Amino acid sequence: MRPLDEDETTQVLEKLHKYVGSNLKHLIERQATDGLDSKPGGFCFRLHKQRVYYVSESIVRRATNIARDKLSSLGTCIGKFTKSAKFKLTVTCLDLLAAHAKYKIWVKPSAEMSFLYGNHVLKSGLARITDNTPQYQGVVVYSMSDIPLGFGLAAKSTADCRKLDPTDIVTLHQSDIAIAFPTLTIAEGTSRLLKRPPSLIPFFSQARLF
Amino acid sequence: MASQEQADMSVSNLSAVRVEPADLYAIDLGNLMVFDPRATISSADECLVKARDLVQALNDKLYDLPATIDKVGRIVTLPPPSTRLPREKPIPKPRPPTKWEVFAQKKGITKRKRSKLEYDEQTDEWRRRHGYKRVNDENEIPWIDAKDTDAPGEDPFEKLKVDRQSWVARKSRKKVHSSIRKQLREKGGKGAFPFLPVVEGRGASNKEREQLGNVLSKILARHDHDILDVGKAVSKYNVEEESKRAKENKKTGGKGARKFSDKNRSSKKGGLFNRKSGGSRAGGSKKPAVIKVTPLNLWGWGVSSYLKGLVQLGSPQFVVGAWQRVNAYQMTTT
Repeated sequence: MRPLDEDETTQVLEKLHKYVGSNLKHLIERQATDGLDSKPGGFCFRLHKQRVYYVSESIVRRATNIARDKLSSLGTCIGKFTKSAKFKLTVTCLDLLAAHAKYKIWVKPSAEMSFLYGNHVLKSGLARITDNTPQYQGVVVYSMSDIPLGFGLAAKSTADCRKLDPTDIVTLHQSDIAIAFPTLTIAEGTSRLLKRPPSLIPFFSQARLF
Repeated sequence: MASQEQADMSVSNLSAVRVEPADLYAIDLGNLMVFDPRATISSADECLVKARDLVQALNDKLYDLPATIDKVGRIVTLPPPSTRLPREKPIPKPRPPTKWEVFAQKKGITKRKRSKLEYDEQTDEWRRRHGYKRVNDENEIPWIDAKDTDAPGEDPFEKLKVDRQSWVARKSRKKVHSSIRKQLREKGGKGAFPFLPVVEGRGASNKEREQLGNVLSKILARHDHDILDVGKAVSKYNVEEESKRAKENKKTGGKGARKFSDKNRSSKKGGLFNRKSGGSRAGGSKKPAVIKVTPLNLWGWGVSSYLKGLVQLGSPQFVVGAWQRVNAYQMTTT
């Protein structure tokens, strides 16, 4: 586990900036309100086995006591560096993105399942979209009950969305929560999944030190 | 009779040749170091006395060096140091072999030089290996024998060309990966790093936060399309300056209080060599002065003080009471 160097930090922040915009400042300067220490610290990024984690400082301090090969994960895994040293966001970052997203898309209940199966969002499935979304802007996809389903790319700007056919693609699918829980989706049914509260990925959000 | 006298004189002369204890000290002028290998010290007082002797010996040796007279006193160029100090860091480990080196060693592949010219059997002449009219140029193949496995309608020349192109593409991709791996290797792999993360006790060190802040501001600035508000920028800068100054003042214990800042010292009492009375010796008297050693300044002077370069020899009259650590900068500044 080590902090990121300058190039890596640039890559990570650029990626996050695509979805979160100027709220990136809030994301980085956030203070951990609840934690293991009496005085809450901030958050930081750590690289462990090519994966980037967004961890609170109190947890990072404790995680240094764990051997490198024994440490599975810590904090929130926001993404990973591929073999050719490019940074890719994973869906486990969704909680963080959803909390700070600038441009959002709400999807009709009828199109939720389609999105969770990996399809793009069509105009017919689009319920709401934030104003002045530029084209190809990173967006977070929500269900009508404000549960973040995943993130993607706005294929058309807000103004252009009005002129589209119902079968035209509005949002390009990049990642959705069904990727994280494929067995859950199939075995337990989507209704159960979708009725869960917003912090949908508690498994990955909290510190996992073991 | 005469021989008896001579014998007496020779005996008495023997006693006159006495080895000075100072000659047996190991004096390294380059490091300003003096070491008595035979010393046995049992008490603190004895230590002081011994140290005084040692320093006196060193001083005598220093005065023996050729000196130039400057307006501040004698300037002496120290000889190069004679003691070899041990390595500070361990011997560097040999570089780990690359993937190819390991493979080549295993297979027994050795490097061999290729000649520029190669003999082409088809044209019975010597042709160059690469370039214009090279041996085995793929564009110059006159015919390719048909095989049973060839599908009809497939152009074997075209196939050769496409195969070659794909090979070139694969090679360049591999080169990209290997360059990344080479960079990582040179950076020191996953170990080397510009700053230590957990040195300061909290999760993220100041340097890390600084780096993060810099990268963040760069990214935000790049994507910020607003017109620059000069008033806002100026006030932001002023606020930052104020906070920085407040932090510095807090460190030095209040406004204007400067307790032990080095830059003031040299102007006050001077270093170990009080420059005020140095003027009287500026003429460069040959007689070395006696060094007064007290417990307070013993620490500062020490028996082995490490100074490089020029040393000003003014009057070696120690400042009693306020010891000051000897460092090269004090000694050489005017």
